[in-house]
Amino acid sequence: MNLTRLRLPAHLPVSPLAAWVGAAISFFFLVLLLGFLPAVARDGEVIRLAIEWIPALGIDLSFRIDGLSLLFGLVISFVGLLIFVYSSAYFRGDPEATRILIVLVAFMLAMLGLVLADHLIALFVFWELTTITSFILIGTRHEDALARRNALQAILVTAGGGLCLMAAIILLGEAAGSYQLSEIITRDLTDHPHYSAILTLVLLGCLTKSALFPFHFWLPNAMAAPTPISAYLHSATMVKAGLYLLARLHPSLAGTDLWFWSLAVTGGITAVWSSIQALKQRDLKLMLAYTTVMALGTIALFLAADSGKALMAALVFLLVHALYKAALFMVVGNLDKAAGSRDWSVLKGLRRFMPWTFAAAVLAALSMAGVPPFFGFIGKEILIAASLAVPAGTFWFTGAVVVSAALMAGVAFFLMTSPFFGDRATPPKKRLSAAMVVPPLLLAALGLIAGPFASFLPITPLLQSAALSLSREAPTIELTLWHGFGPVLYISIGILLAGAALARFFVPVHRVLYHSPGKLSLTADRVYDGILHGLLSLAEVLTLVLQNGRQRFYVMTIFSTLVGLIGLTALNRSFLPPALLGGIEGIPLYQWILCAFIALSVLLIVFSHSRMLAICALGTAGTGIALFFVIFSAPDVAMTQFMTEILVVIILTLVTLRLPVFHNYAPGFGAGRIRDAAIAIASGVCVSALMLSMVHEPVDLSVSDYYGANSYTEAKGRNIVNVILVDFRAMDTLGEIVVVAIAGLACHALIKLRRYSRGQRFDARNLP
Amino acid sequence: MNSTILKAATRILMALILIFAIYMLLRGHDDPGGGFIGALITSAAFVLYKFAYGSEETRKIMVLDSRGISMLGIGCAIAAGLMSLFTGKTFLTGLWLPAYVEGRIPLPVSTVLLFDIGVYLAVTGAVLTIVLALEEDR
Amino acid sequence: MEVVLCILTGLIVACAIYLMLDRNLVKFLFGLVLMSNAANLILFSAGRLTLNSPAFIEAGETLPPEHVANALPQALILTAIVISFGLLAFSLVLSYRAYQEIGSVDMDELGGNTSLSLDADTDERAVNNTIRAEL
Repeated sequence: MNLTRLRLPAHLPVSPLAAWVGAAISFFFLVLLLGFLPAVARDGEVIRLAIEWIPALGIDLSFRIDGLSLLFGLVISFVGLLIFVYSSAYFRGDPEATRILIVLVAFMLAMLGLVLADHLIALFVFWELTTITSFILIGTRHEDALARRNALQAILVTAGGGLCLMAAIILLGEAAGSYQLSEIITRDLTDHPHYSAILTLVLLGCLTKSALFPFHFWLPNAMAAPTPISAYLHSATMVKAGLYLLARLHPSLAGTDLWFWSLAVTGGITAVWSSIQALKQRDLKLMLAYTTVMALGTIALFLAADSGKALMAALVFLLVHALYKAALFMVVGNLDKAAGSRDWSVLKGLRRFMPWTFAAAVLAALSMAGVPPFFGFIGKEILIAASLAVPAGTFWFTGAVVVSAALMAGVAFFLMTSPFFGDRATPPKKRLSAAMVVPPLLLAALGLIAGPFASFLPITPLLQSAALSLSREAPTIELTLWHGFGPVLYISIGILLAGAALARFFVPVHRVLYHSPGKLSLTADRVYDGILHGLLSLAEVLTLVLQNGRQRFYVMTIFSTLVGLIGLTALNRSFLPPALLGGIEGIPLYQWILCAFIALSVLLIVFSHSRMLAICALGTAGTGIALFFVIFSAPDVAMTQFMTEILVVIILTLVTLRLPVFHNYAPGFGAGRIRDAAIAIASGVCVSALMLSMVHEPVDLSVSDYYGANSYTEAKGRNIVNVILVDFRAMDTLGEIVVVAIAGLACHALIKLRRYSRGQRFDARNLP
Repeated sequence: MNSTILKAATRILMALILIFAIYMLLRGHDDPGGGFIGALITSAAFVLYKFAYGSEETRKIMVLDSRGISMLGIGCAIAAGLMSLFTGKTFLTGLWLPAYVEGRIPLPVSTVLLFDIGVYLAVTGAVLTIVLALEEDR
Repeated sequence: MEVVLCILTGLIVACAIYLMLDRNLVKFLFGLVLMSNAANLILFSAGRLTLNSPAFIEAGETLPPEHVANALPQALILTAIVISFGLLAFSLVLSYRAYQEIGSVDMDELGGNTSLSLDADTDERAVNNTIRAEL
């Protein structure tokens, strides 16, 4: 047998193992979560699991499975499963595949943790994990500068929001008295004094994460990631995290005008604006990205309302969107892989060559357009019905829904026709494997099945229990295709007709929009760039000013700050109680002499022009201080001070005699020296004032008394100072002798261990 | 520095200072003194010797290299701390020889004393390392 | 006496800072020594001054006398003295080595790289500029 024939040819790489591992993990979670479905959806139970995590801080890893988290968890694991299957083919032969897929698995776990977590801190950790994994995944093609820039933009925007969220979480936890979501959602915080701060911060966190206006700009840029990543993170799951949190906190935070209007305005603007943007795109993937932003806006819009109907509408649309949008992304990925382009003006007539992808595209797009009997139709009907029933701002709600839905229908019809019809002479370059066709087809088919069978499948009870997590009065809405004749049906038909017309005249509309002179010069993307530039320039200036490498400047900065801070405090408090100055009386003469001796020695150091004189003066000053310790009952300290003073004089002499003579680099007493003297005197005055106010305060001797009382009885020592050093606080002393020993070693190393010869300037290149 | 008087005096002074240093070290628990002071006095003695005889000679009379001394000191201090672990107490808890507790010997033989000796050796070694390194860099 | 000590310490601090602001590295080191002395005095005054009553327990007693000196700041200062000796020794050696390498003890010659710039991100900036142009 010819063994060489067994070798795999180079052009047929094995499919990445990591994809199947990821698929197995997501399948496991899917089955696990489906197991909870009967209890949660039918019986309305809330399942709680808790593991101690950081008991010292009262943080435990607790999970809460109710309708809302189960809905999200099922979407994450189910779409995840299909995405991993799809990736096994999509990343075939990609040298980076394993790395990408491992991060993708990490993302999925973090995302599941986010929606299932019950403790706010745990939720935040998972939240940030999704941000980081998203950053890595957007920057997958990191050799491309644009991908790097977009990844950076995504992480700066979302992590900036994350910081706000952290503040919000702390405020929320303190306001509610608990960090457990199960506790928080039972409380109504709308009357809390910090309510508006909490809401603003939560909104900042959620709007950035979910790419809502005015933070919508990062999501289309995030399309730099490979298509399966975009489909999963930036359409089906991660961008929904912000919406999840808004929904989660709905019971405690919603119901105020602030909540209603901030979300309604943001959501409405996002939905309409991004629908128009979608028409301007040539890249199908970018088009889908903008429709995703539109869907996020729509869901946010309906989360604004307080009625059970509107919340139900938001959740239904969320599920609808997850089903069709991931499928469409995969369709675009297939087009890209097979035909080598995502530009709709290039892609033509692929219907004959890619029939299954075409089928998936049609099924998904019909659901997106909201054509009966698809699930999307139910979703759109309920949106319209809810928008008509909104108590305030009906016009705004209905207008936003109708305009964006009509534009979406147009985009959907265009997506399912343009690339697939028309003439194409040459077949696409590559053939697609089943793993790339089945997942989108399955998802899209589910959108078809869920429509007519919504009442029979567990979808309805699941959505209802999810809505119940948001609001206490969730109505039982029947998810049926036929609601009878009425304004809802007429609007729905109108939307479809408008969509069909738009699709028919898509190219001219696109051209008008694309070349429209109304191109805004101030886009959010530019604002982001401007802010980033400003920050970088500021950092550069600050670094140049503060970190200029001049020691004198550092000393000056430090002590000027000290003077400034103490001075500011002094303005608010009264220093120098006059009674204290009376304490000068009755000081014996020898103490005056000692103080004068120390003061003179110190002044001599400053004004001497000779090194030796200065060293001697340093020695006498130190000895004077040692005497001071002797007088004031500190013999041990005095001896230590005296001995170190001797050694200091010795090593100072050893070193300074080898340094050049006391050259005065700033001769005379110029402006520079006057400034230095001013800083020095001001600092001295501040220190004196601080000390005076300190000795004026009563002293707390409890620790010292404890040591004194236990020195002999516990530690069998009569010298309390020594007992503190070697027994009570021996751990500190151990640390200190280690520091001293290291200082000795460092001196030795500096002087003795030189790899390069004397006189040669230091150069890092000479080091081994 | 080459002074006969200094050399001659150093021999006697050195012995006296070292004895005094050990005395200061051992009495430290009850009277003024202790590891830090003893160490500084010892260093001063060796510095004096160095001035009289030079650093080569000083290195010869030191049994161990100065860096070794400081490491030995840290070792002693850690060992003193570890002993209490064997009796089930926390790190660095003091333990005394029963003979001292009952008053039969004057010297407080204990892990606390070992710790103080560790401090003494570590500081002596560090100071001598610095001074000798500076002196030898010509 | 506390009042006088406070003023004396202020004087030492002022002299130490004035020396630390000198362009001569050697004077900076002198300032460092004075500064650690001043810090010790501040610590000492925080524990208040006590005349003629060191923190010892008399033979035969198990408790210290009534108004004994505060032992805690003394223990802190004792270690601080030794530590600051280590710090001084290290800075001395460092200055000495810097002098050997650079040949000056003028602070303004030793440091101060004003040509510091953040060139690493020029690549990213170019990208941002092209993106802006495309928009």
